This record gives sequence, C-alpha cells and structure tokens, in this order.
Amino acid sequence: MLEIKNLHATVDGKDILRGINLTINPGEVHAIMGPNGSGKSTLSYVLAGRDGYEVTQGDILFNGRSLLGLEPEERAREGLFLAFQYPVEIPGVANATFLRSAVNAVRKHKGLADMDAMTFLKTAKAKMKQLQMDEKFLQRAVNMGFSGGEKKRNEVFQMLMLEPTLAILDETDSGLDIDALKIVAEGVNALRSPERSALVITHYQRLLDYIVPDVVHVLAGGRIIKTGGKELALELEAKGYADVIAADAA
Amino acid sequence: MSALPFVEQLAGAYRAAASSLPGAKTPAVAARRDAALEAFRRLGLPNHKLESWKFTGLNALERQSWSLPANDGGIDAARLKAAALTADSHRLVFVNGRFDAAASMIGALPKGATLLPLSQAGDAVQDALVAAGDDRTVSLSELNAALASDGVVLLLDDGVQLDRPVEILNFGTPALVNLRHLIRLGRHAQATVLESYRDGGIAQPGWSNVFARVAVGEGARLTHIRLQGENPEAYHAALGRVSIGAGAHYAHVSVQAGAALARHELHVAFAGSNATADIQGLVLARGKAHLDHTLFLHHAVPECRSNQLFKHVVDDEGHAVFQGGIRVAPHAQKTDAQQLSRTLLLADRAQIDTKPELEILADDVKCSHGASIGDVDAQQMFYMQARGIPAHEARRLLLSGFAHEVVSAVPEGALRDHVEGFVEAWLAEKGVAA
Repeated sequence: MLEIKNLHATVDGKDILRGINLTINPGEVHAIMGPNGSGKSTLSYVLAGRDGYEVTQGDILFNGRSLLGLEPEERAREGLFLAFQYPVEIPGVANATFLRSAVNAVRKHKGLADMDAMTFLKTAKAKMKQLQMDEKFLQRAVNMGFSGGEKKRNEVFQMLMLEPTLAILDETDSGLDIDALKIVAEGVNALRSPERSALVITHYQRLLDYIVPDVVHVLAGGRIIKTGGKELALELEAKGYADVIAADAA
Repeated sequence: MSALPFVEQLAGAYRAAASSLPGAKTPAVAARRDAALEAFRRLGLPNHKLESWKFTGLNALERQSWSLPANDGGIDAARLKAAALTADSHRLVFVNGRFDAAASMIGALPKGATLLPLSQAGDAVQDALVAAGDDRTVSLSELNAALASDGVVLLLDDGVQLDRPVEILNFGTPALVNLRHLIRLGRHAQATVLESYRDGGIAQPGWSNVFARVAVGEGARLTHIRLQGENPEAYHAALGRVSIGAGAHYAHVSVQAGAALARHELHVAFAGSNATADIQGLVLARGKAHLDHTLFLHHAVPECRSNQLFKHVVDDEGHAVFQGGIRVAPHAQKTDAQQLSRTLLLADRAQIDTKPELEILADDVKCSHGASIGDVDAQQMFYMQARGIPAHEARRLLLSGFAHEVVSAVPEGALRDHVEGFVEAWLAEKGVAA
C-alpha cells in the first residue's frame, strides 16, 4: 500500500525528515508517536504533497507508484486522505458545496458519474448521524466558527464521504474530549477493512485505546528510531520518550 | 472619424435630437436641457486634475466618434431571457436608449404607485430633469440631463409597498445612451429595484451614461441592486444621488463585471436621523477592464449608520478602483460609519487603487476604515486540493466564497439566485488563471 524509502525532506531549507523507512500493508493500521518537533506533521504534509515541503532524497510509493511529482489533488484522487491537525476555515463556501466537489472529483477519477444532489445529501446525512453531527453543518461555511472538536469531526466526516484507501490522521485526537474521541475513533474504525490502511499520528497513547494499531513507530529527530506492536504505545505512555531516544543515541 | 471635436459632436447630436427628447414641449425642460448642454460644453469630460478622477480617465471616449442610437431594432428573445429575473417583476426593458414596450412587462401596481418609462412620464419628466439641488457642475450628469432619452420613473406614495421587484434592464448598443432614473419612495414605502446593464450582443463599443436620483422617505426601505455586465468593449459611467430620510433604510449592492471602462459613482446623503445605509460592492475585472466604484457618504445629521463593504477580484491586467468618501458634519454626533475594502489580485499585472477619504468634523462618532490586498490563500487552496478538488476549481470555489459576503447582502430567493448566477457566470467564463 505505502512504501516510504529513505525519505529526506526540508522545509525552508531546514532538514526535518532524515531518512524515514516505513511500509504499510493493506489492512494495517500504523501509529507514529513522537515528541514535539520530531517531524510528525512534516511527514503528513510531505505525504499529502504540500507546497514548500521539499523531498531531497528517497521515494514514496503508493500502490507501487511514486507520489513525488503528483499534485495534492492527484494524490487524493488516488485514495490518500489527510485529516488535518488544524483544519482550514474557508469563508463563503458551504461545507456541502466543498464536499460535493471533492466527492465528484474522486468519482470522476474512478470513471464514475457525478453523485447527484439528492444522493449526496442522503449519504452525507447518514454519515453525519454516525458521527453525531448536526445536519446544519452542511450549510455552514467550511470550518467557519466550528469548535476544535467540531472541526475534527468534520475531518472524519469528509473521510467517510471520500472513502480513502489510506487515511493519515494528524493528531486528530487533539482538542477532543473523551466522548468526541470515541465517536471519531468509531468513525475511523468503520472504514477499517482488508483493503484500507491508516497512519495515525499522535502525541498521546489515548487515541490508540480506541483505534488499535497493528504497528507503532517512534519518530524522533526526523527518523524512526523504534518500531513495535501496540504495547510500545503503552510503554511510551508510562516511561516517556527519553529512554527510547537515549537508547537510540547510544 | 469626424473632424469635429468630441464636445461639438455631442452638441450637434443634441441639436438634431432635442425636439424628440422626452419633455421637449415643456419649456422648463427644454430650457434645462439647453443649459445642461452648455454646461457640458464648458466643463468637458472630467479629467485627472479632479481629485475624484485621479485613478480613472475618460480620454478613450474622446478618441471615438459618438452618435445617439438609431431608433430601431429590439432585443432577441434568448438574450432577454438570459438576462431577466426568472421571478415575477415589474420589468422595464430599454434597447437603443429607449423603452421597449414589447419586451417589458410593467404589470399591475398597487394604488399610489407610479411606474413608467421617462418617455411616457408626462409631468414627471420635469421632476426627473429639473430638480432643485442638482449639482450643475458635474459634466457627465449635465450631459445626461441634456441627452436623456429615457429611463425609469418610480414614485411610491406614503405607505405603499411593492411586493415584486422593479427590474430595469438595459441592453447596450454601439452608441451613446443616456438613461435617467427617478426613484422616490414616500414615508414608510417599500420597494426593491434591480438595475441591470447588459451586453446587447453587438461587438462595437457603446457608452452608457446613466444618472439616477433616489429619494427614500422617512421610515421607508429601499433595496437597490445594480448589475453592470456590459459588453467587454463598452464604456459605462453612472452617477447616483441618494437621499435618505429619518429612520429609513437604504441597501445597495453593486456588482460590476463587464465593460472596458466603467465607473459607478454614488453620493448618499442622510436627510434625517436614525437612518441606515448598507452599501456593498463587488468588482470582477479581467482582461484590461478598468472598473471604478466611487462613493461619498454624507453624514449631515446625527445618529445615522453607514456601512460600506467593497470586494474586488482582479485578474490579468485588470484595474479596480475604490474610493470611499465619508464626511461627518460638525453636528452629526453618534454617527456610525464603517468602511472596508478587500481585494484579491490574481495576476502580476492586476491593479487596485483603494482610497479611503474620511472627513470627520464631529467628536462623538464611531468611524473606521480598512483595506486588505492579497492573493488567494495558499492554505485554503492546499486544503481543497488535498480533498481531490482540482486547482482551477478550488480557486473558483474560493473566489465564489470571497464574493459570497457581498452576494448574501441581496435578499434571499430569486433575486439572490439571480445575482449569484451573474457572479458565477463571470467566474466560470474563463478558467481563472490557476
């Protein structure tokens, strides 16, 4: 599904990622944990293709094809989805308009006809119900005046509508209370299948109680310094990152 | 091209047409027209030496030969249908500077309402042309007073409300067209007016010179929408003078998306306290279009509120101008006057001149102004693209979102859908540079 090979990337000329290797197979959920400034968000932006995040070495293969050189929209249409740590507000554009454009862009890429307004509305309302979101959020401008939790829920809502094969969740748990966290996790789990994978980036172990990962990686200084099973997350939660980082340096 | 100087060409056109212009048989009107022409000959076109014409020049007009429109031909049905409101309206259509009865549909009016083309307005022609308080030093409105061939007269008695909008629809023609409107609402009257200037489908440049006098009586409410979508070769100059009575509300939305060179100048004066003016504008300029909004808000009395919001989307080598004048008279205490100009420049050679001009002579007031200029937001673009939306469509959605704040000032329903359609058509016309 996703193969990251010796990935180096710079932002504003600063080396942030320094040789990441990571393979995610279909159906797997991987978690990346790490202290602040370890390069977690940079990795998510590099995967999504954000301008200004320059890959200087290595490659990213998605279903065997290099993502480098693809525009963000091409990556999204190939089935990659980034749930933003800080969802962007877009004044004057209704959530429904935005999302229907996105859904139809992805459908077009798959050779499917546009989803008509009625079907879109029906599908959207069903997914919103699943996330316990009020339907009025469809008519509101994208993320405008949404609380932190509402924005995160809106990210997962978009994910459910777009049904990506690889979901990257960048600190989706931040800003959520425990009830919202459970709902969001259920939304993510609802998409789990043998064909779909997820990369969960988080600072805290808490989210991983609800989205149980197959593999946990520790990212520090722009490299993966340790990989283990789901128990690694608990170990990090108990002991902090210092030991792992010290062991890597030794 | 004629060898006669520009001003003399127009004087000649006036002499040839004078006897057939509305009100020609009324001595006061004829005298006013003669005097107006003399004033225009003396003044000539406004030029850069005038402070309010610093950013917009009309020299191009003098390089062309102008005649008044021939009095023939109508508008084809498809063009009319595309430009007209889909909902019921009191519709007055003007083609070649004259009322086109076949295309119009004034319909039934409540008692106390008068709605007529100027060419059939009888005594009201005198009201429209010979008003006390006219500033007779403004050359374009003097030219209009001399040559006005038609327009709309809307008079509502006290308390009269129109349920349907009045729709003024003008189709451009390759000539100089002078329309003159008189809109007067009595106390507590209510109306919505849509003024629309559209492409007549003839590629040669035309020149529309429009004057509107608007009086909103005490406690009355007028919603005044203006769409300028002239032929890309055309010239358009409009001057509006609005007076607002005590407790009245005037809402104006002006969208300019057409013409090679256009200026909409609006003077709004408060005549009584506790009145409100909400004035919003949107400029959509591409190619080499030069589109100007010039406003003067006269807070002459205390306790009035005005709000100006102007947005500009400028692509290619387009040039937008916004001049927002606010004057607060010495005794106009408790004035609340806000002004905001926001611009998206989409190309390296796109330009905006945005100039607030505040003269505040009272001390207990709330006044503010602001201006922002930028490009489409890169984060917003990335967010949309990261959802699979192609860059050109993401850009179109963001521009539509930018315009929405102005569009949403139009009352919801068929009228807002119409304005939205007008804006979206511009956005869709050319894949705006990605």
